[in-house]
Amino acid sequence: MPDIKPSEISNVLKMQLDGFKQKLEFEEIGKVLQVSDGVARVFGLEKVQSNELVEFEGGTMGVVLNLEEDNVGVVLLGPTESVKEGFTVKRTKRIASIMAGEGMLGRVINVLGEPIDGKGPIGGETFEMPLERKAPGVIFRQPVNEPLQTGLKAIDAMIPIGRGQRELIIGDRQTGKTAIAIDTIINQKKAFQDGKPIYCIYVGIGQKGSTIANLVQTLEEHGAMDYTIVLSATASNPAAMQFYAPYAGVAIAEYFRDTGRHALIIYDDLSKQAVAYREVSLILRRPPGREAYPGDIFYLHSRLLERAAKIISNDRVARRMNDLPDSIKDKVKGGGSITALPIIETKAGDVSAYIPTNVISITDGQIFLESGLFNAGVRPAINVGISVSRVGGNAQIKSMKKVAGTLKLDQAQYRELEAFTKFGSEIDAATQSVLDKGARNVEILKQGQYAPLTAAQLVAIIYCGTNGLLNDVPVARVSEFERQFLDLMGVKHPDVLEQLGQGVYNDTLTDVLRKEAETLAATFKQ
Amino acid sequence: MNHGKISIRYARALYEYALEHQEDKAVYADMQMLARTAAEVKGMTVFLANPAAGRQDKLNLLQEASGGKKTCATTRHFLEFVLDKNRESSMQMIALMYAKLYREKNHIRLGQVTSAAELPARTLDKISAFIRDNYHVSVEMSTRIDPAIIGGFILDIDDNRFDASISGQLQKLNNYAGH
Ligand SMILES: Nc1ncnc2c1ncn2[C@@H]1O[C@H](COP(=O)(O)OP(=O)(O)OP(=O)(O)O)[C@@H](O)[C@H]1O
Ligand SMILES: [Mg+2]
Repeated sequence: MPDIKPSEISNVLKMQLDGFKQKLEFEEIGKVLQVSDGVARVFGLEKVQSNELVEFEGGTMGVVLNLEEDNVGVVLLGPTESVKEGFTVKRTKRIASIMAGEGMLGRVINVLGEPIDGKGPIGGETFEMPLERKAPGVIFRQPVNEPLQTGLKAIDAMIPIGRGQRELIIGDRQTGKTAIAIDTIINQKKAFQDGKPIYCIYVGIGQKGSTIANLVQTLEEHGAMDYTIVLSATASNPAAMQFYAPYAGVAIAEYFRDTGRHALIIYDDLSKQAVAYREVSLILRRPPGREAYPGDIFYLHSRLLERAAKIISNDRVARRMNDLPDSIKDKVKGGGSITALPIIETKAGDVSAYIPTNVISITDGQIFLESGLFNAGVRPAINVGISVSRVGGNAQIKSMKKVAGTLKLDQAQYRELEAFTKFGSEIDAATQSVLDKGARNVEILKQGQYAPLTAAQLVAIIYCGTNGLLNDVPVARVSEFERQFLDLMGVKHPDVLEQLGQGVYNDTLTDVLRKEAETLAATFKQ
Repeated sequence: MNHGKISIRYARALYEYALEHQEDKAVYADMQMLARTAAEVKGMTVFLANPAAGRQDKLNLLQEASGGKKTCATTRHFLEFVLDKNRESSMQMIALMYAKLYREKNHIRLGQVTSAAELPARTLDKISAFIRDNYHVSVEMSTRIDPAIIGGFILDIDDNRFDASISGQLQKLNNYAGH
């Protein structure tokens, strides 16, 4: 305690009292009535607004979530133990926000934007971005027209994702949902190196701390942290933090989007976030609805996912975008985007449960993962028959569109015939050919982790598959063929790959593919 | 049902009733006592919300919490009424809302001065006079000593706080420097 003499204290007091009238700086306060599980009920704070940041005695911050007539429900952004009954709470008159900036790249942060990787404070300039913000209106948007390559054959060929799109990854536990997201992040390395970065934000919700640590290590090993931010609210954080994590993540993504850059955000996963919200809502005594989730959970998720968008490239129009935060008003540029990959975990494949149906209906497509496929060794375990992307097709490069055009249909036909032949019926040559091709395509679409392909490689190998060029290659050796073929193309025909990668598609190019594939396939013939 | 409305409705009914029986002031004292006890006695609200706890036990607790034998007839009557309606879990809020309503109707403000050490009576008088002159209301003044504020004082009037404490200034400085 500093050494202050009592006489000084009363002097200070008197001076302040005299100057009292001039600067009447009253703060609005309330008293904590009750605290439990990360939520405080507060008496007072009558003029507080929804989503306003409040400060508790001791410095813990909170966000106002519930305005009732006799009390205010505040979600704590800190440990429950840090706030006690009887504590005073002050208004800040600021809407809950996060300070976002480039300095966050390569870092692991919490919902408050504080680093949790032990690498010191976040450097560089930061900008205040509100957690809750209205999505850009239609006039500030542009249709999806640029691809976001995942580097995964099955997705880029059949379920293509465009920048600004919302594509749901849905499946039971341990079906490779996170793996798809991580591979997609790793695949953005080339763009980063080429100076056209797609900044990635991975939002981990309700996961184990060790899982996040492993994930960060994987990203580091693949040089992907340079352009990635990992935001984590682990299972041991209060429910409120888990509930707010996606908003903090998207607020950071909006900083990139509205300054004309591209961002990719992954919510892993929204099922756990919904559970956290349910917990918070029950504590706040909000009336529960279906599956005990509060009635506004649909609205909550749709508002969140609406914030993924492709912004109009005209700077002048973009600068007039609705609800722009003051901090970036003079930095706004058009042409940016947020692509969202929300993840939902299903139980026993039940996509008709409340949260899955909701999120399916508010996304632009779904990637369905199945444990049956996963266990059968088909990985990524994507059920291509029911997976869709409603807008990404427009963003697909031409060469990809051409080679993959019939792939989905072919595979559907293959699966039907395959089921049929299980009854042991006679097979004619045409049917056999469909089966042969289908079985090889299934092999081609398998892909290990951390091995994303370039768009050109993808076009090349899928061309071989859809044109039946592998029919002489034994099914078990398809991946070997693929490796050799792509190596060969890379060494002998880098120019062809280059053009395919740029979307060029013509007979000259396909002739090269065909010739090389046929020659190589012959060496596999038994 | 919006829970926030429950306490307000009960508090209003209690106020009207108490007014008719000219016990509004006595009830005010009881309700303040009840609210204070509920805030201080851990587990009281939990106990009241527990459906397995007996009615008589809850009634005894509520009566004791609102002043024991000193509670007025209206309060005693009201506590039974609340129990009959199974709204005892809202009792803390009802008490708070009643006190607030009573103060509103009677133009009373709640004031509290927090200081690090005991304040001279002169200073307190000055603060009270200041409030009277500026708010034209009577203030129920209380004082609190909290060495943690280091020096200066904090004045609360209802939901408004004027923080002239040294710890408050330091906090502001820290917030300012922190950003
Ligand atoms: N394409 C793949 N090839 C081989 N193994 C894979 C592939 N994708 C995922 N796996 C492995 O499968 C396991 C589960 O993957 P992942 O953690 O991505 O699944 P998840 O659906 O996110 O699981 P959870 O429900 O626990 O979050 C991991 O051990 C991962 O390494
Ligand atoms: Mg996962």
